[in-house]
Amino acid sequence: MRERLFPGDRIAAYVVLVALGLVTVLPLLYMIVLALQSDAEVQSGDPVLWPADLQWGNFTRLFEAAPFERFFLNSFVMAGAITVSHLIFDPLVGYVFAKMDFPGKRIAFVAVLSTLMVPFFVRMLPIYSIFASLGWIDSYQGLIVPFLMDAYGIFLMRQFIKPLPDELIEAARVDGAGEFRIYLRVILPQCKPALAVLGLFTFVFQWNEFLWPLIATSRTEMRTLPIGLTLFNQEYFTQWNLTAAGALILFVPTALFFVITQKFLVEGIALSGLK
Amino acid sequence: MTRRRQALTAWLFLTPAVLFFALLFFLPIGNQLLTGLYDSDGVSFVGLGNFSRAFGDPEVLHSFLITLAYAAGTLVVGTAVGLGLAVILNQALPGRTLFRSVLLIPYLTSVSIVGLLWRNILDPQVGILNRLLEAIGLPGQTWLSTHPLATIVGITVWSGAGYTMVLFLAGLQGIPSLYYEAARIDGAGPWRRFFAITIPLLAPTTLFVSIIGLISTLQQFALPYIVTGGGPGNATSLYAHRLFIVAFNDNDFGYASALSVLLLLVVLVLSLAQLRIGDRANA
Amino acid sequence: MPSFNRRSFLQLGLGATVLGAVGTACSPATPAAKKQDARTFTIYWNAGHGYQAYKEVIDQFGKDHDLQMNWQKFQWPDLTTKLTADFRSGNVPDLVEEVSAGTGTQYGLAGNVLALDDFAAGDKEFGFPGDYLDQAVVARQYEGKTYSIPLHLTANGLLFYNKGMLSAAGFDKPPTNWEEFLEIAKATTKDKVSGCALNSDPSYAAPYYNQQSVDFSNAGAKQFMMPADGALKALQWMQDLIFTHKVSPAPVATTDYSGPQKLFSAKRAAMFVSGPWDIGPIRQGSPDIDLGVAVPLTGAVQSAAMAGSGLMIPAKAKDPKLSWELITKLAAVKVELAATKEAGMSMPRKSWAADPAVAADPSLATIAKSLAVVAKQDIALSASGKAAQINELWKKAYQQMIIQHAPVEQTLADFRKQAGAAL
Repeated sequence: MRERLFPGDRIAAYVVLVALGLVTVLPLLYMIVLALQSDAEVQSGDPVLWPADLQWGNFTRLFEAAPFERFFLNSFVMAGAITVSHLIFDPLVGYVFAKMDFPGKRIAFVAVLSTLMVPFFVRMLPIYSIFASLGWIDSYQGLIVPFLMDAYGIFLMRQFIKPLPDELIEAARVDGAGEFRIYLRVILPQCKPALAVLGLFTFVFQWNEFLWPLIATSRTEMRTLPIGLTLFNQEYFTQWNLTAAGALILFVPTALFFVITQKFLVEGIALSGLK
Repeated sequence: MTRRRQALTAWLFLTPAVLFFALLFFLPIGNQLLTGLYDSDGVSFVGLGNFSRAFGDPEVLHSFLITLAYAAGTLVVGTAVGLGLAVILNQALPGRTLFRSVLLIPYLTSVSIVGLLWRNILDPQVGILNRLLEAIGLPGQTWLSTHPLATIVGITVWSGAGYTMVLFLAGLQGIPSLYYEAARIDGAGPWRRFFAITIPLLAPTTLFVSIIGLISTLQQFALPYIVTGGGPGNATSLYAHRLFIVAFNDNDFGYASALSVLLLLVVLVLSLAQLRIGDRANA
Repeated sequence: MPSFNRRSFLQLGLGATVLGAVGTACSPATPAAKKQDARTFTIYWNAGHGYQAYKEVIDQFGKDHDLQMNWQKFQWPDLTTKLTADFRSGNVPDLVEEVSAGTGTQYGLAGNVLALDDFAAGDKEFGFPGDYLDQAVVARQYEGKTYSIPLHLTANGLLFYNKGMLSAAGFDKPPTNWEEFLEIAKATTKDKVSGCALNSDPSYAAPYYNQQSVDFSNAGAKQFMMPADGALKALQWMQDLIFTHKVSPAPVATTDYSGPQKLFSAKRAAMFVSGPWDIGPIRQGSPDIDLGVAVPLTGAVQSAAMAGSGLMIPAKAKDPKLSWELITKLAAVKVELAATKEAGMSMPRKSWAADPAVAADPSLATIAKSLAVVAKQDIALSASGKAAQINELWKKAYQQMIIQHAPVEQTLADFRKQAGAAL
């Protein structure tokens, strides 16, 4: 059942959507065009709308030039492990801040929030020194540990858990459920949409992370995809076709992850007791 | 359950987080803070000299002001676009899944790729955009030279609108439809329902979006670093970009640490204010 | 009581792991970590210089010494960032390519890279500094110490021109001085073609002010862009090319330096000033352009700006002698010639320039001529440790004048003041 906001509102909605959709998608389609250009077309200085001859070989050139399958695996291990860790810890901490009362809560929350406000490269060098003496350079734990959880996810979960009715928790407590069980069986199931969002964003962010893998690895076999992509810039010009081809490869897993969570997001909402 | 017991439980749940943040945030940041008290050589103690230096540094002041302008522009435009899209796509429109996915694509793309892509597209001489404008008889743009900061705002909104939209969508779907039905029975029209139910109940999401948006825009460094190099002149040298240059180009880590502490204080104050206003509005 | 299950134990376990890990971190470096790396030899290199000629040398070196060669390639800004972090943590590579002359001096005076004079003195056969072009050596020395060995030597200041466009406008020779340059630029500017194209990167301004006998810096006297009238003349002339004569588009401020080359390749610019690195892209992208490459212009003097990377050894490298041995192999004249043949790169050795293969090649001969007129670099600026900071200030000033049309005299004065304060 639908009401009209004004006559033709549906058409207006589609006009807005199509316009913004085009603005969004055309630059990315152009990236595909770039990826399929020949070296000469990239150098020619004339923007090419459609390559004379589609260079599918650019993709295989990537894998010949560097062990991209290994970069892919490294990125996947790093982003995957961090995402799992976030899904375990962020909702738990967010729940504590949303629903529990305890001395020091306000200070603890502000302390957690304050960690959001420092650019990563500020804490990067001390962590790098520590990890170097631990022998954690060029290791997965070195790539993963600085990002096990973050204030962003905690804040996200707190904001989603806060509006949940307290009666749910009280009722479970009356039934004799332990605190952890309440969190696990009562709160978490309500959070599926938020968890999908958290998982997606964490994965995307870490998958594309550049600075830390650059610093924390110094062997080819431990590099991640975003670092691998920089191998194709020459000293005085960008080898656009290969960079764009790499960017497309970089994009595939995040897109897949999105397709999966998008479905889950809708299901999670349908199942949640909120409606 | 007693207060005492709840406090114990709370801190028990928080233990991993306490350890993590202490060791991987506060320890290194504290270390940086100490560095901030020293000269660039890391040996001579200058106390708060690096801090007072920051207040007299026209480059720092300039970067701070343009960062505020950038943050304000990005927040206002980004939130409006994101919320608008979420409200439209929360309807039962055929094809909405497609639009949702398409609009989120830029966010799934790495910021370095986004930066490189737009740098390539917008180049007035060899970029594709001017070639297309030319083809349809329009004058070419030179936005990167004439409106550099607004261009960076535009690219940020372009890449972040889908993300804001998804957060708002999740928020919208968390609003019990019961409320809307009750309001409808009471005779409230769609606009009234939007302002009386949607906006207030979205407050936690809006708060989240605006705080996270503020924090990330005040820390934006990748886009100027990749697209403009902070130029032309220093027109897009945002605060965090300036900070990165001071640390990794000038190798002045003492001063960089002082600058990062100042950034922390500013963001902290602004977000606490936002949080307080938000929580009050929420209560 | 909170109820425990597997997951909560998992959490506690993870917490304890992190605690334990960082606890160990506070203790001094573990020998185990060092030992594992003993047979690995790590090299940082520019991603654009990964020539086959070097790869063969490096592979062979690994075989000879039973080392695992770890050849890491970066973009220059990334390499600098990584190296900064490495120097601060003490976890350093064994050999590093130096972005340009002077960088090694800056690191060396801070104790981060080694002075290489003792190695060179003990290795007569290698021929340093005797076999090297003076300018490339002198720019890397400070108070009798040399902190890097030149690897490549190029010059910014070559005049690229489109022979077809020039002859269509009635010129059968490229310009040799500023008056001719402006005349030809005006004559070739029409419709969508610009007579010339300036670069947004400030290092491309160097040939112009060098040609007015202007020194970028004299750090000893705390002077910048002096003499002032020459600096004013050079920058004003560049600004006029864009805003008064309108023979060059205003460059756009990006981190990409290839704008002028792309315009030239697209036949939208008749001339531009750059270095040998743009020859390859033009020939590849637009083989139909009849490309001319001429020696640097003469303003008050004929001049070009030196460019080209070097090699340096971190002070904490595991085995500096081994690193030196690899330098001697990478910078051997036969490897230089192979890299030239492969990539067209020009080199710092006199015996390279004298080689028949080089002397007979017309564009290499032009490059060699411009190498002979490169301007002297201010060693004291590198030694001050403030070179990078002052270059950043110069970038701002240059873009304000060239892109944002700021008044030249005032902007130069502001730059001198800020740069002086930074010193």
